[in-house]
Amino acid sequence: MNEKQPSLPIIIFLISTIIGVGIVTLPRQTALIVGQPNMWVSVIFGSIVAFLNACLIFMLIKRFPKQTLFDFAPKVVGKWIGKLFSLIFVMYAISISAFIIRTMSEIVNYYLLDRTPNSVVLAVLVLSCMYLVSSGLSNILMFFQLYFPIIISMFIILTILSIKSIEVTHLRPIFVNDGLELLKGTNTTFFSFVGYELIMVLSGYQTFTKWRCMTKIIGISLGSVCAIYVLFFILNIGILSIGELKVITFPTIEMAKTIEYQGFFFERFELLFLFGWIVTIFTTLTAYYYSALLGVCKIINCKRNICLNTLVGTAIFSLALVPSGITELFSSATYLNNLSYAALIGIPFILLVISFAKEKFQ
Amino acid sequence: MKRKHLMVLIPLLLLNLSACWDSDEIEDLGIIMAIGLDFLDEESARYSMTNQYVVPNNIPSSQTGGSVGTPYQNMTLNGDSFLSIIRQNSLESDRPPNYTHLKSMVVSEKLLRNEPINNIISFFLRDHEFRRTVPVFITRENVEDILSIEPTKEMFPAVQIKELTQNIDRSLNVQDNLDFGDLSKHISDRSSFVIPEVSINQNRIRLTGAAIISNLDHKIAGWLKPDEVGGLKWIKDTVQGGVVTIDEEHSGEEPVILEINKSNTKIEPVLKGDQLSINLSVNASLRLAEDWNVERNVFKPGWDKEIKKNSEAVVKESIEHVISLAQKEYGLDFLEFYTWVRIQHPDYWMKHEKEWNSKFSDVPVNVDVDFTLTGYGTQDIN
Repeated sequence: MNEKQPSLPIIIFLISTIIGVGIVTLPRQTALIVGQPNMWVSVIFGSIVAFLNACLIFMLIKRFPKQTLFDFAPKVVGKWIGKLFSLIFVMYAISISAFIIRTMSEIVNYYLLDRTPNSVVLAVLVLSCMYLVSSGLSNILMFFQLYFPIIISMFIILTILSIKSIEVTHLRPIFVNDGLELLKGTNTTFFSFVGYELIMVLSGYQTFTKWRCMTKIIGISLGSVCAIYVLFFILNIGILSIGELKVITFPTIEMAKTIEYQGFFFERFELLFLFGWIVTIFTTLTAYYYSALLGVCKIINCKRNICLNTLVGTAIFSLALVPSGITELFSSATYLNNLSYAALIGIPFILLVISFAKEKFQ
Repeated sequence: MKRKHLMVLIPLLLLNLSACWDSDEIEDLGIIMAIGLDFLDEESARYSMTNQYVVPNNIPSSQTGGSVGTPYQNMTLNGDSFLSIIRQNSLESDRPPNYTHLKSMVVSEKLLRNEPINNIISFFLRDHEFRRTVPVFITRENVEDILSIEPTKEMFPAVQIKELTQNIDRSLNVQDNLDFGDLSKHISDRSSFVIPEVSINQNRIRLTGAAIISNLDHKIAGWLKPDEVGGLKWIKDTVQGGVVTIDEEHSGEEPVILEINKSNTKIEPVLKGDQLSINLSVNASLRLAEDWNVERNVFKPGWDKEIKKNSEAVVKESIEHVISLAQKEYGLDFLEFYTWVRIQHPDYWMKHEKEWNSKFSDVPVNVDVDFTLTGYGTQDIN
């Protein structure tokens, strides 16, 4: 084991994973709960909660160097309960993948390909992801690094283009004394930071033992995602206003649609955003797909092969087709949130407590 | 392992190889530049809709020189809903209408008198093809007539209507475009607002005043004349240029015309106990542009005192006139004072948001106009 391990690929992996559907749907969800022009503060609260949770997860993986969640869970709580925990995590990864790709296919259906069936859009994405995942983690990390500049430059270009249409009156007043509402919003914004829990899977690839290195990785990735989210919240509120955010299905895309330069030959800037954004969805899907596949392999104790790969792909694909429409899709997010609580906070917390207790009593 | 990779790769290749099998050629699209909506209320149909198609073959190009006909074609059809009318177009035109490059929408007065604007606009906001940047205009003329008027400089009436508002820095009577996005914001904020009006003047399209839309029933409450639009612009801090005319009525001498350089309006709601009042202060710098009183000597210090006083009085009068229209005649806050109340006194706003219309009518407004005269041009003839 070499001491100096690069942290940049891990940071890029985490950022690409965390940014997903949240950037498109979160402004509306938060506006419905908070409904104040300063609701972007909720995003910062959400990132702090996520950071604390990530530290909890780190305390756990620090005790088991070079092992994934699926490896150490059976060691801590026994074979069968450990497998159950792994299974919950796999289910979580599969359902979150299904959720994001279904949201993406709905958006593609709305704005780009309105005559292509949902299943085709989903199949293209799942199949290409299957191919990438079959080539292993190091290739996935490489792929993420390749696309990362595209994602970031898309965000930057969109920000520069839309900054002139911000109306400052929509963003004011900034200091309203209703902190309670903002805290309520945290419950929603927290879920848009989901993705950092995959360090429990990455820990099999790279050892994380130092607090300094880890806080750097988590801090930079959550911090930059938080910065991007806050920026897009401000753009959304400034351009569309709070009242509008509550009624627009996909606010960020509508925001991109308001960009217009008179007499310029290129008119549809939302396409620029959509192309970049689909890549971020693909990276998020890849990360979860890989984790689910790895989990399944570890549970049944066999090597990664194309049958299991197809199994996971089919599971994601068919789960994504379950909601009958966009309203059902959004309401299924509540179940997903409960599952996230279990996978993000429940499992790591139980494992941590038990492993501490075991150490104490031995 | 190689073969397994191939098994994934081949289906993927199949998807790519299909290429452009369902592409639409741009010449085969019926690109729509403008929509006109009117109210019929006949037995057979409630609404009429005019679509302005681009006729690509008639667009004059540098190679062929002059064109044969107009580069646009209007098709007016009647029906009971907008989408059904759009689909009816397919019975008469082989090109499917495409609205992604829509430039303007003209709505008739009759339609807005009979139907609330949120019902009318709902379809256009819901459909993804319509952009949020399409400006909306109202007209008292026949909608089809407006869209058939030969444009003066542009190729399409649709573009002509939209681009007129580019002169916002030229005239006080021109206000900024109200686009779908703004409209939707006003509707979800439940606020009153104004829609710019277009009319026909000697067979040319002309920007005139504006229609006031009430936030109670979302229908037309009244009209603003062109000079009242000027007063509204002073209040809403959207003055970017234009002229202030001091006529004989105000000064008792020959008219003086000033050009506006820069203007800034501040609205400050003051809350004393539960009593709200609003201080509105206008700061602007102007330049002497036209002076019919040639005896005036601008090289003498203090030449500007009287002009300053008179011009301030003129603008103050026009502002107060619009405020009294809003407060007394209509009782609707289309001046957007509520924005500043919401920002400065959020607690008060939360409490009185529901009854703002009646509160607004009784709020005392102090208007304070302060002008600076910055110049008098290159020569002062005596």
